[in-house]
Amino acid sequence: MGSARNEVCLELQNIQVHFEQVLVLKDINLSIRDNEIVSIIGPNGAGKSTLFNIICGLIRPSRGRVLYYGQDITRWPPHRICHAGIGRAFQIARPFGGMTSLENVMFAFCFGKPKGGQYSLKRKEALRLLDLLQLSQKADLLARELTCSELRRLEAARALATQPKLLLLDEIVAGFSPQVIDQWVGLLKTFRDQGLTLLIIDHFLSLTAKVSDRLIALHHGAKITEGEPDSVLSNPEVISAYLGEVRQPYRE
Amino acid sequence: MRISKPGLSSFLVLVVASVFIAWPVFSTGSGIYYRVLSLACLYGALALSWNILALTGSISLGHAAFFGLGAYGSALACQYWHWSPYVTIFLGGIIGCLYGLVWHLTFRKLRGAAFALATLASVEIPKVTIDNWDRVTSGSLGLIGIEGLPPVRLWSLTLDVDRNLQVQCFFLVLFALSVLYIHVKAISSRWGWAIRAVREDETAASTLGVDVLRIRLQALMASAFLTGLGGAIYAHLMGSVEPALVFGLHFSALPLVLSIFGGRYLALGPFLGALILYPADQLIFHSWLPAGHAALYGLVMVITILFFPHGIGEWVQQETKSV
Repeated sequence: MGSARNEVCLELQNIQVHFEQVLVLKDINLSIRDNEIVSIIGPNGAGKSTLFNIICGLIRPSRGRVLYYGQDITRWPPHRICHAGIGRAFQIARPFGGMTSLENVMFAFCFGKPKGGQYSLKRKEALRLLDLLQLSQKADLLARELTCSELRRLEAARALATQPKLLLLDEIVAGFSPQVIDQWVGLLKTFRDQGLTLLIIDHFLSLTAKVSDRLIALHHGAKITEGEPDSVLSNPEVISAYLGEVRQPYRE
Repeated sequence: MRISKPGLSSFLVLVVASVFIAWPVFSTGSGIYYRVLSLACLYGALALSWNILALTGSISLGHAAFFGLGAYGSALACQYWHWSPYVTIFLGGIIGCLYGLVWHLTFRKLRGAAFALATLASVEIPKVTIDNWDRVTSGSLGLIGIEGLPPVRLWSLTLDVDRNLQVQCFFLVLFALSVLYIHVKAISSRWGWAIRAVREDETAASTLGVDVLRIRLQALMASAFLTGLGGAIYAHLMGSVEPALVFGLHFSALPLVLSIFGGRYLALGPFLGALILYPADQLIFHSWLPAGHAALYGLVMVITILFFPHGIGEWVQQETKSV
């Protein structure tokens, strides 16, 4: 798929967002190629999740455009964006607590595409996805009874069940052990091999450095830099955003 | 709270219903039982209609608006244009539906208590308008002598819906069953799944591909139409309407009480609530406490919320499951 690799999957042009009078995102430009893994990094409050909310239609930007394979999706409602092929896993899991894990995934299979069909037919596919995310033991458990780590995986399973081309993962491993993170590294590579484009938010940088093709660093709602992981992580602006201003040592 | 298939609660409804159907067979000549069963079915239909909207998570305190508009719309069309009541009751439903559209356009961003209060207030607009538009609606005096439902001819059989209580009862059972069918769909179809997802988490539902606004609109339209239809049927059955009655809190609150009592998440719950509570009120409490029998509903509400938070239907199901 040599030519497809270079096609632009998602492009944000001059995105600006105000909440009341506060400027949350200023003039964000970025583009993601097909089948790429890109991570957005930045300290708390940098505007990462807001950026995701704009891409999947939950927030309308005050200015700017969102292009998905060249199509302007800025004013589309969330369900239409989902149908077009953008899946999202939330940072704070939003399961349908009264449904079982299996039903949650079947639901996403059923509604993720305009003609999703009857949910009863989706059982096998849903079970396969739960298996992939090591949730098959929990298939018949109510989603509200799952642990935090299971909920995150359920979020991902549900997002995958909408059969996306672009998957947005918000803090999917925050607070998890190195072993779990290694499992996720493997999973993300599998997803990419299946043809997905991945956009990941990772506050703690634990996952991103291992899998990302590119990093984009946000601070105070503005893009500071982007590029290869190593060069971004060694950028003095990125370091000071995370660790605070590097001051000159005190001298008499 | 799992949505259950109509299993045990349907059995319970069957028992309660057959008690009422069998009753007059043993005590002949007692028209009151038909009357009570008829009205229980009407209230059951209203409760089911109300619950179709409530299933999306929006608790309405203003369904009397649809009920009253349906009742007045049908009665006035019948009076001024001399249309058949069978036509005008559908007009009543459509008028209810149109007011539902107004709700959708004005209240679509409201949730929870804000939505409930807005709906409660919205009843006053049609009520005050009809109360003061004396020339057309004869104001607070109300309308009297509304034409009853005319007889239906089926081959050689003439069914006098207006005077024959048995036929009337059959007509209302039919109405309740039709509403029940739509209510079952609102729980256990693909549409029902979407409704449930909207109730549990709107944001998640929308990012998983559910058109939340459309689902809410559809549920509201269905609920408003069926409540308007119920109001219209009520007007023709009773023969008279007045603003203070048909726009009263009674018709907003009763469907809610019956639904919560019967079980809001069960396909048959609201209907079960009506079949138990309304006859209990009319046949038992009314003779004990002629003046204060309506207090039953308040008492039942408190007991239900305290001891059976998911309704009597769900409780019975759980009790029998653990045996």
